[in-house]
Amino acid sequence: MPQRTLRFKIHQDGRVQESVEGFEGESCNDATKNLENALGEIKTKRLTTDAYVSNQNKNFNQLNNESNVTF
Amino acid sequence: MSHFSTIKTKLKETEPLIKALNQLGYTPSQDEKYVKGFQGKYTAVDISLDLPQNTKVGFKWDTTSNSYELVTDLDLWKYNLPVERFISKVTQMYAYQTIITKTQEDGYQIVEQKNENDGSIELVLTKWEA
Repeated sequence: MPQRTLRFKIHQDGRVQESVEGFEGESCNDATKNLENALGEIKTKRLTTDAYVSNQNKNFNQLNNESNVTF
Repeated sequence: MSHFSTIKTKLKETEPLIKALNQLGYTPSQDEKYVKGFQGKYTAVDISLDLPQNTKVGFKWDTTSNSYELVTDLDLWKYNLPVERFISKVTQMYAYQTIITKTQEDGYQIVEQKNENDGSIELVLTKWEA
């Protein structure tokens, strides 16, 4: 059960920085599409690959658990 | 995957704009009114409000930018808050109201809200997905 996290910094001039975390694949784009449309115009957008990283961690933990059982 | 975006806020929806104006302590009216605009010309506006120091402003829907624009006669601006600061405050509060409303509709809950020293508002919202 992944936790979805949205972080916003609303600047004094109304500029908004948004960071969207915890989504699989490109579903993060759909998650905030309506909101972004209501807010205004996207000026910059950068995709990050933390989903890949967290999957790797999961595999790593699984390996650890399996080894604990074995020993 | 995650993403990080920067958004330029535009006053695109009526409801969060009205909420923002109320939140800032103003009393907006949605009755049709005429407000003195550029060069003292009376202009029909969709939302009007009386600011302190007898300063009148309105918001008129602009079909080119698809957003509300401010109508006021700058020669008659007496409010001790400069017009640029007024627009910034309204835009910031509009962004706040839009974010709160849209994310709550999607089932997110506020876990953190901070007013920073630089005047910005920081918000963190989360949702557990089955």
